[in-house]
Amino acid sequence: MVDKTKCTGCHQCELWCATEISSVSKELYQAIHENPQPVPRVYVEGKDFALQCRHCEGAPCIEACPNGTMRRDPETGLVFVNEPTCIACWMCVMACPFGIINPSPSMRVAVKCDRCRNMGYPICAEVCPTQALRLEERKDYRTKAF
Amino acid sequence: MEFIQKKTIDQAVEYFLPKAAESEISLVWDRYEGQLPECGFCETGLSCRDCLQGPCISHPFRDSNKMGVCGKDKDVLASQSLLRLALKGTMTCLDRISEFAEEVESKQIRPRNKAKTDQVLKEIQGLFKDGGSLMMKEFPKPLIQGWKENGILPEGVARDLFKSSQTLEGGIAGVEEILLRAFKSALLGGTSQWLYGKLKRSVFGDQDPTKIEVNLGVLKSKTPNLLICGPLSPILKKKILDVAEKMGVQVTGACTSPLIPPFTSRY
Repeated sequence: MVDKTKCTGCHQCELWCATEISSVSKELYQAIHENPQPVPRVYVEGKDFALQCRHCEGAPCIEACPNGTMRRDPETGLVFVNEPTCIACWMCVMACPFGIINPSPSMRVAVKCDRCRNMGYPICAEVCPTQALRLEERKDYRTKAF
Repeated sequence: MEFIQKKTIDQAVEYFLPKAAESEISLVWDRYEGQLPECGFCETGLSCRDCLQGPCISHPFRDSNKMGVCGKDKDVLASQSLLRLALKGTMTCLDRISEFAEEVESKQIRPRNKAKTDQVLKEIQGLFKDGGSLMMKEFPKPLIQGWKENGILPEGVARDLFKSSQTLEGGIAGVEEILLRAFKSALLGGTSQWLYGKLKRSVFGDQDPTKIEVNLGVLKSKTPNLLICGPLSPILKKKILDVAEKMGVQVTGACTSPLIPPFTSRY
């Protein structure tokens, strides 16, 4: 969840996502000089919106993926990239309606937010200085009687 | 964000931390924890706010904003952050000595060693103007030679500070020049500290080893306590001490030189 009124566009979410998840050394001072360059999985759009993977229920990226690399975790419902089998065809990049999948030729995989499923709490929400990013339960708007 | 369990190894301070928490007094540890995580760009010096073209950052992980608007890349931005800090520090040192020298010249106190005091005052004037000659005589020759060869010999306020401050403009200087200028400005401040000590000794006399009391226990109950904080001129501190003694106020210092003989008549 992004609170547009609180996001200041400070790029801290991008910086720490890349350092903590994508870099090898996990420290900011070394990550700046690393090769290949670490890739952040969250994007600051315009001045006031931090965008990451929405983990859609009917995910176009899963349907577009030719060999089942893009898959859904059965317990949490999160969509993630199984990096060993990715063939870098970029079909998911084209299919995503939000445009948050990053084709990364330097790392030879498609890079996508997985809501930090191996960490305790999403890094972007943890470091956001104004708490514009929050982890919330998704409300199911379909339970309305017609 | 992070909760740091052990705040300090100082037992006197640790004793008072729960009391401060109960009285809801905000201490430096609360403010630090509220600041976490600190801005990654400012931490690594990759930000610049010097001009109207906008506050710039150098994002290490995105190719679109690797350089500031004026074209400075990450190495230049980081070394300029260091130069800014060096300039700030050296100007503080120069202000201290200039204030002290002014007070001595206006005869607010009678110096112990008049001849030496006059000599040091003249030297201080020389330092501000073009670096002064005493440094050349008293520092080791290879050191002065090394400074001269690298261009970092202190040469007075105009040549050191004014020119160094201009290398913060965009597109003028490379990393090597910025770092050498940081050294040059810092050396001017360092030399002024050396002269400050000389002036103190010639005005007040030499200091002998003394016993002092430190930490929270110096505060006395049932007396007003005055806390002097920061680098004040020794003459001002001496005046405060003299008046406070007459009025029965206990004076202590924090982040300042100790109030011991020869600055006071008694401790």
